[in-house]
Amino acid sequence: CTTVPHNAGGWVAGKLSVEVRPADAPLRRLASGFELQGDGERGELRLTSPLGSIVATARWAPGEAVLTAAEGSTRYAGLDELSREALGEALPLAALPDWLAGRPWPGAASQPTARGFDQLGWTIDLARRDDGWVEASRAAPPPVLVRVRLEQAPE
Amino acid sequence: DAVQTLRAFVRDVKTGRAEFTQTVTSPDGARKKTSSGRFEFARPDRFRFGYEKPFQQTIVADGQKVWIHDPDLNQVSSRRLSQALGATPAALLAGGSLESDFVLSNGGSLGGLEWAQATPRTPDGPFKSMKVGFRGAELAAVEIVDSFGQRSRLDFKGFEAGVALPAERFRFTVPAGADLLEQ
Repeated sequence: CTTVPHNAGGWVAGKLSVEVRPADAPLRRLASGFELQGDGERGELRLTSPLGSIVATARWAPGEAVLTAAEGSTRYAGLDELSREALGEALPLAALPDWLAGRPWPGAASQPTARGFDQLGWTIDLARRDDGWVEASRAAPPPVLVRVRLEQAPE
Repeated sequence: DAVQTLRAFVRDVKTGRAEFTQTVTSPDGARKKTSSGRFEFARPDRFRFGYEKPFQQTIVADGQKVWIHDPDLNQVSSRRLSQALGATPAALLAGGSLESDFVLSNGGSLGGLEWAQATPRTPDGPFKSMKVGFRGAELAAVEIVDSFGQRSRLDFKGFEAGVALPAERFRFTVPAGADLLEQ
């Protein structure tokens, strides 16, 4: 099987789908290409259009979380707020680089499970990671399912 | 010069198709990603980008809506064409309002091609600049720089102008079981 590059210069790329199922509101869904670099301290998530242009970037560093789109930048108090704005739901962006690399984020406790691990209230399914798939689901309402397809290393 | 060639292209070439290779270069120039597929259009409001590698992805404009199908995620998103087209690469190649969407200027010759520069009239949109490259009168390449400085170049191969393209090339039906996002 092809190995999925973890740090091609520190960037991981692919496509992600975020699905939020509020009990009392219509299902919300977002899908986008992405590139991600960084860790809990400092990082950047780029959301790309189907034709390959950057639509928005989310950058975080100690004491700073900035979302930039074509019209300009907005500063947020923290990553959850920034993630809610960029992706429609508060995803633990700080943990995402480690999760996509197939391991728990060192910044919080985690419990192994049959298909991966639980951390920060999320269940990370790595069973199909060799095919480039990582899924993260949160049970706490509103339930969220994040599906990620990582770009394979070019054969 | 290339501006005249671009104007003639938009005026005279009502339909076209070609294979393309796309190279996307990150803003710092450090990373490049390539993809490839087929591009077809029927002016002024229908086109199809059929990506094959590295992922399959289909973008179809049927005259009313732009449909984006991602078979991996098993998802389709659709948005009204008027919202999606505007000063975009697709509008530049397949649209019918070149002069109202773009300011045209000579982009000189480079890499064996004659280039026409097309700057979107709407300021601070998603795209900073676009260039169309011709080999003689044949569409050869497009280069797009977005507002973040990411550069995307499509190189076309085997461009056929004025081909009869069946109408269903620009129709899209949502596959059974696919999730639909209407934006």
